Amino acid sequence: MKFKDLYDFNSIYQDSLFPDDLSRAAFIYQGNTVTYAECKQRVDLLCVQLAAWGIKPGDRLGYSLPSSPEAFFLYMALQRLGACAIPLHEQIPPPAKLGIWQACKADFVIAGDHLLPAIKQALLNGGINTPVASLSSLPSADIEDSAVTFTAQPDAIALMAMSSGTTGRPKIVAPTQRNAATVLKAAHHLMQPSAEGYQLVIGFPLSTSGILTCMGMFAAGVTLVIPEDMSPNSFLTLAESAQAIAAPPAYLEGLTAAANGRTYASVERVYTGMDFFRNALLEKMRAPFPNLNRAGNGYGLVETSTVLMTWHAHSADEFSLPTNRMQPVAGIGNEFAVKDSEGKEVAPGQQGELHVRGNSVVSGYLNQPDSQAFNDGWFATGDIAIAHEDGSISLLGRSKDIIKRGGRSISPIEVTDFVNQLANVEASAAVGVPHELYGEMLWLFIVGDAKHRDIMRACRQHLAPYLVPDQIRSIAELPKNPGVGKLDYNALKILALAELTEGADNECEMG
Amino acid sequence: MNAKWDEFQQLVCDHLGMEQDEVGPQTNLYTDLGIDSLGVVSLGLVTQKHFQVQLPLASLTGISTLGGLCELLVEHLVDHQLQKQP
Repeated sequence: MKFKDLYDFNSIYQDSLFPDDLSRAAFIYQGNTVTYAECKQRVDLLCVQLAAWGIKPGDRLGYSLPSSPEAFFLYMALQRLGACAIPLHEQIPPPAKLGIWQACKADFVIAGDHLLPAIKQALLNGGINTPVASLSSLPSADIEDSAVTFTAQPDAIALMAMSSGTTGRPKIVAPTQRNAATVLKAAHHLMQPSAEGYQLVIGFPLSTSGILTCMGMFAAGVTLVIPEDMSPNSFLTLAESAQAIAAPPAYLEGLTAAANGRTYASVERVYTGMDFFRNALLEKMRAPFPNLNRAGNGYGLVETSTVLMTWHAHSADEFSLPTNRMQPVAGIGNEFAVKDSEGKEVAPGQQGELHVRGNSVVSGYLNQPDSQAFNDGWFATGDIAIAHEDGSISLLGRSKDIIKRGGRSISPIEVTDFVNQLANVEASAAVGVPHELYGEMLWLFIVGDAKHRDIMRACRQHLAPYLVPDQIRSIAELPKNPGVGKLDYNALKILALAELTEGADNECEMG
Repeated sequence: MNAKWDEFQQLVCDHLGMEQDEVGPQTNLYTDLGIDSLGVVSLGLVTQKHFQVQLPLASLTGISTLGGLCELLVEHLVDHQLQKQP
């Protein structure tokens, strides 16, 4: 395997990050091509400039840059120097950015040129004297004259991120260089690199998870095509000449709708992550992308330094394989266990919470060292899963989204994967709605013209009785969370509860 | 069967995805329709919403046939109408 036994970024950078042919394109951005040679030159120079600015191993640097090759160069330079990166999405308001950088104890800040005045003002308003610069205002330096020492160690903190985790309380996650190195290997595996290479349009924001995953894509030797903005039309214009696309599932949904009858015949591969990749979406994507013949999904959390399990389809014939049945990436040093609520490992085939430990997993939360999510090296992911005899693991959803109906635990995915393939169903979501007698009722929300009667008939004919929805409602659009657009289960529960409460109020009135 | 049967039968068919000739007053909720006790409550909720009447949970759990549920509905519809009279 590429990067074998290397767990600090500088060694990986020098040993095996770049392809043999440095004249190949590493990035395409704003119509320009950046070769691997140019990329290397830029990173080497940035290392010298950052060192001249005063950055040492262990220093923490907060930054907010447009999604561009520069964001990669800065990340790579910081990793080579053994400094810690705290990347934040451009769209986060400056005061909120400062709050996060302060919580992470940033020693330096770098902002894009257009953001710099607002960041400086926010620093001034907060009475904070952290040194701040843009990439263009860093001290000039000469690579030939400078001697920079690279002392990064595998256990040095590589980057920091805020995670809402399983409790919703913000926590600081700090993957080490060892943790971050695993995602280079895992994403390399996910991207199925080919000798001739391919162009991949990316629709991930380059904040913590995005930069880690996209660095893995870079390490896989694909040419990253970066849109100038996140609009589906900008993305689709670039897809006209690309062989692959990668974005969260909600964004892929948007692309499919925005294509509006147009087709993109060059695209043969689609990759995603950060959420379930429904077979129904994959099927729907074959209209605008008729030549799709490979697909992949990566699973992981910030606490596991993103990707550590993958799902692959190696041909269009495999697009109907269950996308939630994942394979742990081999050779990166992780162990998996599915455990019951008392922390005992359950037998294969039984449901429980997925736990993981090993090279990908951070040691804990910086600001909550006593968190119960970490125990004896194991991290409780908050995801319900079933381990199989062959080593694969089926993901059934976040534990908080699992429906507990009449003593049974039901994965919303089990229900919606079936419903989504029925005629006239565009999308669906299943949620558990609290009920005084039975724990939770199973409510199904559907988008599309399907008749409830037809859905119920199909469910009753094909699903186990406990998976049949108790109530079905039609909805114009499924609510999504901000960010990468994951389904907002809570909003749907509130809708259902409002309807039930209305009924209860009537009962009171009727005495 | 009572006067509300046809409308109730149609509602049940729509909710469960069945044809009218598949359900009658003697149809057992549990053994014939294969729904569980929570499913009966769910059917009760659909009935309440459609007929704008409240059916107590405790009464629902004692019902075992569609005819029984329809009779319960009619009883409560009558009560409801009596309460609405000045």
